[in-house]
Amino acid sequence: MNANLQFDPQGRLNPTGLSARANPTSRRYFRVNETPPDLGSIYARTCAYLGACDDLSLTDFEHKVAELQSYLARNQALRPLLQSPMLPFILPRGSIGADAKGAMCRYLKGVEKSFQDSSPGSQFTDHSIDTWKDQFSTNPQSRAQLLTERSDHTSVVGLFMPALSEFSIPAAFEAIDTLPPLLTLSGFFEIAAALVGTPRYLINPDAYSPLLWAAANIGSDMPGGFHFAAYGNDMTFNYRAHLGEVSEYWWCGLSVALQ
Amino acid sequence: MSLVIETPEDRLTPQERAKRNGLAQRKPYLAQKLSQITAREARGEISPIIRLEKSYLCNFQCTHCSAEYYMDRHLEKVVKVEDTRRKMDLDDIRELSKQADELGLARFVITGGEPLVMKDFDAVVKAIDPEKHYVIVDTNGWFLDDKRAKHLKSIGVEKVQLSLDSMIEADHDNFRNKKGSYKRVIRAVDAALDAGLNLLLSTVLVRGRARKAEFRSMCEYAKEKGVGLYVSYAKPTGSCSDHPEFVIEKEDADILRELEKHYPVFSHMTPSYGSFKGCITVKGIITVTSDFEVTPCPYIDMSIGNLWQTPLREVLARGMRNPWLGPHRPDCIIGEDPKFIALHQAKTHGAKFLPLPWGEGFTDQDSVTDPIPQPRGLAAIPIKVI
Repeated sequence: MNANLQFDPQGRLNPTGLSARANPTSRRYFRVNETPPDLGSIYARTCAYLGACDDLSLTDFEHKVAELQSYLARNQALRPLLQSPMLPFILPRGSIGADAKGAMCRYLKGVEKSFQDSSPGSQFTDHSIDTWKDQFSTNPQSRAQLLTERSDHTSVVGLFMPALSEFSIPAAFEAIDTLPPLLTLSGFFEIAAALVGTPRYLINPDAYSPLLWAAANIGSDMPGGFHFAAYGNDMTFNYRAHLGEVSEYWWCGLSVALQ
Repeated sequence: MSLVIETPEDRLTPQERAKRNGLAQRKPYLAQKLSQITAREARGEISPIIRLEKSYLCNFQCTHCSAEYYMDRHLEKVVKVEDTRRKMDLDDIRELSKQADELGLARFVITGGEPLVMKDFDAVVKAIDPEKHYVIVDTNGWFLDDKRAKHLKSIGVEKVQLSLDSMIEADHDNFRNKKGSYKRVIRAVDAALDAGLNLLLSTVLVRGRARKAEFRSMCEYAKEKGVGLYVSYAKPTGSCSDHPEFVIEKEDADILRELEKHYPVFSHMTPSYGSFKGCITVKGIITVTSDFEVTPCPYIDMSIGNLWQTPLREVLARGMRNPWLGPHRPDCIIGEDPKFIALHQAKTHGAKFLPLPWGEGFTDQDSVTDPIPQPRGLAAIPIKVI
């Protein structure tokens, strides 16, 4: 890990030293719903909406989450990440595969069902259109493909941590180059899986919640990307231009999963 | 890789499609420009509506008026100064229209004050050039009878935005401080529709109003008339500076977002055809004041440049560089963000003339994490900041 890059006590990466745009500090105006994650519910929702985790029991899941937290706790530089509003997630074995667009649609359906079951009367709306989904791919620089490829063989347990809040997309990619290999830039599948498990993460009645970029799926030549965001009591998925800009509202995340 | 742009026509209602087709036949150049806005926004380009405040004369004195502090009657009676600043003329408007057209901008709102008391109103419309720009008039409706509505249509005005603050006649009249104003605005609704003008009702949302039956009945009225109801959040500026209790909370905005599912009601934060702009400062709107200053929103009394000194293109670029105004965000900064509200109050409090020029309010050094300055000449205002 680059010695200049450090996480602040709340688990946000300090962007000092990056050349791309990121807010130097945050006033933490945008806030997710920080209700502590419930591992039993996450496991049950994942099995119900993304497919059975036949190679992973709830106990296995709990042990793996504890192992990941222990890994972060043992590493002094990464320890502040434990203070970020993290979400455990599962990519069930075989839930992604070679047809990325098909998997994307299945995961979106999972987010929709999980959200609507947990929030009666609220809506999940996918505003993105097929021509955008046809362009869906993973930027190898993100390292996110390590998790999705591993899920071909085994269910992957990971933690999603919004540690790159108020980073531009180029800054998020610049940052990931400097971080330990076990950390990956979060992409669509990890974020969607995290939201399947904890569907009301972006529904915060007390404050506006951030927009979550599926940053790992943004190519270096792409002016825009996919994202999840709340709209009142509803949830949305959409595509928009990012243009290398920075916003307090725009967050990227890191994922960590055991080898 | 090039960005693929959605075709918004796929998502248009038949009525909206018919309106756009009609405009394309009458004003093809303008229709072409308007049709490109979605694609431009998808590329990250901006296409703000220009609100033109040529005159602040008004026959009303509303409780929540954002322009009151710009009016001669306020400056003379309360501040006790005469406004001797240079004012825009028709040549200035022609130049602004030209610069806006060159940037692909396509929409002007004539506001004020009350535009329909302006003696040179028709000349202002002509100077904007309704063949090149979609012209909207923001009016209290007092003078909008059948004859006037037909006249507006004949000179190229496309749309009228009528202020309606309550479906309870006495409440509307009290809020507007003008007896008879409710009856006049209801008359104006029918006059505008009969004249073939597009119509938008606008109303101010104060804290708690979204829950009230009266507000629901206004939504019903808009639905019944087949017109949109534009909801403006009360902001702590202008006459509303003395009414911080009007400022809404997130809950009010969330109730409104729920009502959007059932009624043709929307705010400036509402997504349009899948496009989520969020706060529209600079990105979706600018206001040009009578002294040719550009403010990023009708309720922010701090300029991002003066058009006699700086071309419109650079003023917009400056606004987009500003960390408060340029970045995408889902809330209204002057209506909801306590820190920006406090900053705005601290900077504008006690100012003789508004808006504050570029450099005195907004600057290129702004940061959202900087502390709020002390208000000029006053002890600190007690402000709740997140």
